Amino acid sequence: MVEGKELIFWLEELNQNDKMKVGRKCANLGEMINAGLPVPPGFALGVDAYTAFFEQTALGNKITEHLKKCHLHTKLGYNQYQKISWELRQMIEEQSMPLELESLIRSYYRELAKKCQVEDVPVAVRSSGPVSMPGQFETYLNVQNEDNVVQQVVRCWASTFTTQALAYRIQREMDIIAPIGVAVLKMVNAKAAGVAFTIHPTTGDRNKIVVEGCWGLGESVVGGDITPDRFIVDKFDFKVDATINRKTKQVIYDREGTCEAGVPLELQERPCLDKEELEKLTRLAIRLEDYYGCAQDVEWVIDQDLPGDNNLLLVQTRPVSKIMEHKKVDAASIADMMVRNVFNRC
Amino acid sequence: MNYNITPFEFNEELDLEHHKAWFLDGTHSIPPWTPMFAWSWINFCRHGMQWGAEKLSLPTCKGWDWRLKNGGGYLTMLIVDDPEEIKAREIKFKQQLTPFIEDYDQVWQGFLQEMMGRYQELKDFDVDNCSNIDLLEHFEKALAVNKRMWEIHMYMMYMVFGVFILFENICKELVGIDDTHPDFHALMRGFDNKVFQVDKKIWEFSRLAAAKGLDKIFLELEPKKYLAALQERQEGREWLADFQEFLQEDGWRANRMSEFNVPLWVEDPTPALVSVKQFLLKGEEFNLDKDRKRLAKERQEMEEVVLAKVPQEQRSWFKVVMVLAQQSSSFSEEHNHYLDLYTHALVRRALMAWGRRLQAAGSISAVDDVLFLIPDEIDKAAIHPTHCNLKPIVEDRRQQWQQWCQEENPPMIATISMEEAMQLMIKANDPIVLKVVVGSFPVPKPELNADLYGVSGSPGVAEGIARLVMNDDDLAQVEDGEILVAPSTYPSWTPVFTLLKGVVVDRGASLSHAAIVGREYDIPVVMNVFEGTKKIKTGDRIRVDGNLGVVYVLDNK
Repeated sequence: MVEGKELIFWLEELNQNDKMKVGRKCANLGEMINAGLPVPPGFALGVDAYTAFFEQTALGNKITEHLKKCHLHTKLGYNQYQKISWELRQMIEEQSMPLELESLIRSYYRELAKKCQVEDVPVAVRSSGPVSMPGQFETYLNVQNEDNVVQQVVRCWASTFTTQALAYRIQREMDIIAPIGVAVLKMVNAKAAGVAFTIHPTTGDRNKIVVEGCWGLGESVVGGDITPDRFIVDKFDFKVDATINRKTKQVIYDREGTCEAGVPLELQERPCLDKEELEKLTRLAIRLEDYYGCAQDVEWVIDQDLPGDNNLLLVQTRPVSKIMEHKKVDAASIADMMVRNVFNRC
Repeated sequence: MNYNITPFEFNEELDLEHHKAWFLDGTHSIPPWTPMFAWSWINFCRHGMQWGAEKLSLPTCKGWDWRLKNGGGYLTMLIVDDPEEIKAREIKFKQQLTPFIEDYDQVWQGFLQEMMGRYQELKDFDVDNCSNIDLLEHFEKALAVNKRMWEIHMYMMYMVFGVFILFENICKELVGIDDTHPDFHALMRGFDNKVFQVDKKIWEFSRLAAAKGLDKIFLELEPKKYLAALQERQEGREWLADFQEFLQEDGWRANRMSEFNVPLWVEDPTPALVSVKQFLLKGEEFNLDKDRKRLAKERQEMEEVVLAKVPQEQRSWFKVVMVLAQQSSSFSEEHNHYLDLYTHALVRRALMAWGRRLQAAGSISAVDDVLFLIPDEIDKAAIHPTHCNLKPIVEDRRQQWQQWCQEENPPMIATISMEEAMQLMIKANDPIVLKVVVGSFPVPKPELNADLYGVSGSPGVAEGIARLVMNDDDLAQVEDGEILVAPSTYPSWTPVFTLLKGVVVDRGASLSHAAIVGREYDIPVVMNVFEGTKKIKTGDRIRVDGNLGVVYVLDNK
């Protein structure tokens, strides 16, 4: 093992200052644990582990050699990038891991399984970039046993060479190797999931928490394809204004990733959170906002494997302004209107 | 006649050559400024305005130019008239605007943090136990803070008021209500801000005073006897010690905003104690808390109503603009606390330290003579004050100032008519001009047969006895249930709103202090009646109709 490198960490050893060390997702999860918030247990591979892998296996050099043959000085089309991407990912995924690194990952995984008291505990392997990059790096869900974890970590690293990411780096003449961290988290067996805003996202009312949720995984709430239940909770008297929608579909895990499935009839019109769960979530959200000092956008999950008094987990939190970014289009049209409407040339 | 302190003094011949009309800034320079304040305004506020307009690249206006005449500030718009230049400015303006639209809080909080850091540095400096050269350096720092404050002030204000006007305009187009409509007011209230938070603390002190049996002091004595009476008793001394600790945090302000010649709350807490009295008069309840919840709820309902009238595909950006306009309303109120009042308080602190030193050395006769100097003159005397006689300069300028205080400065100096001048002003599309200087002009509605026609700043109707308040000295006389009649109102006046049934002001627009505070206290406010303080006397029985924007005098005293 390379001396002085920071290869692997338990999430609780991390905080938000470690973004460059383990990527943003891992650093944020570590910070949440420090804030006393419930997040799924897990560990993180540092960006140094990525670098060590590419150096010790000489993959870095091989990739550089391979790219020399690809006529990068000419303008490449999407198909050409796609071909290079496929070749490189193939090359990386076939590479076995250096022994020391591999045994580190295996021992952390065994330790995690022990903590969760589940043999071959299913985990999610998620990439965690230190900087925001276009071309989302991939996530592998429902990964079970040591061998598969090691293999999916390598695939996760290989996913930094997706077509889009590769094209982006080549066109900007950036380093071709883009180290990332990797998060290995216990899979949450989601009964219900969704998002919560500690500020009313449309009215800006700071006295309200807005919770959206549905059965199954949170993906459908985040993606916006199922009309979720919506609860507006007052931060002071906890009064709830609920809009319960008919939820006919849900997203669940299957062997490789996720799929859409039906919702049993008796659950379709039932709120996906009960009173206690909603109150618990509200309290957590208030604490979260206090801790970070600004309005937050949280992703939450109810784990059906965990006992009722601590089945609520948070998987991500970020300042609300970040999620407002999809309003960029609005910002541009508002700026246009300002020119036409307020500063018009009469 | 002029103070002769700056190249920005009005020169009739030269200054009317390029600008046909100059307007008196009545909001800030009546009564006329002392030389030190005039100097700082003409330099820093003028600079801040041009800085704000240029950095934002406002398409049609480069800010205002300012001149000084008889202690009054006169302003004119720097209008961009070349269409090519406007086009180029539009492109940059849009870029500048984006971060503000996307994350108003981050922009404002960033500035706020910067200013609070600068204030702390100034406050940490001991102005009484330092060498003259160190005090000079401190004074220069305070002036630099003053300059920076105006940059931030105007940059923010141009954006904030611009968005507010946009919201008014799209409300007119899409919803059919303007900024004087009761529904519009409903959208703009139910918000907390720093000024109200300070008021709430004062209210808490009023409850504490009542609990300790100190309320009689406030209710029975003249304000100037409060301090001595409090110090006579053990509970009084304790209460006062706590109160002064609170002032060290939030009392960096004077009751007049645009001058250095009024003592700060930290120097003399009497004006703050008058606010305690006003809360005691009102009794146990803090209206704002009680009302805010209800107003916030009404606001949310009104938001739904208004949104329903907006075409579906336009709702997304409409909401964004609405939230920004609501934030504008809060900014308009609380920036005074964080910016103007705080900065001017810290400049005054440095000035008074100089006043004491220069007086002790004999270069001036009284401590506040320092306000009749400019910074260069302080510099001239600073190192060896016993060898520098500034008395003749002070004497001359004090005489001028006193004379100007007796006379009224003309509202406009121009080679064109008032109407043409207004047209010119509107051409600049300057949001601050529209929202502060001009406002909406009242439309007389003869069928209403009212005594005064104005515009609505806050909805509702109230009848009661009028109380004419021309300046802060009159504030202490206001009694529960009266209707305030004033030229205009200021942030330090807020606690008096707890007593009022309604407000009438000569000048004001939808983002004026009286309108914002009136909306939160849920009392009717009628603004821009121009002659309210002339036509109404204390003791008259009047009716304020904030829905229609008119005032009736029911009974002349």
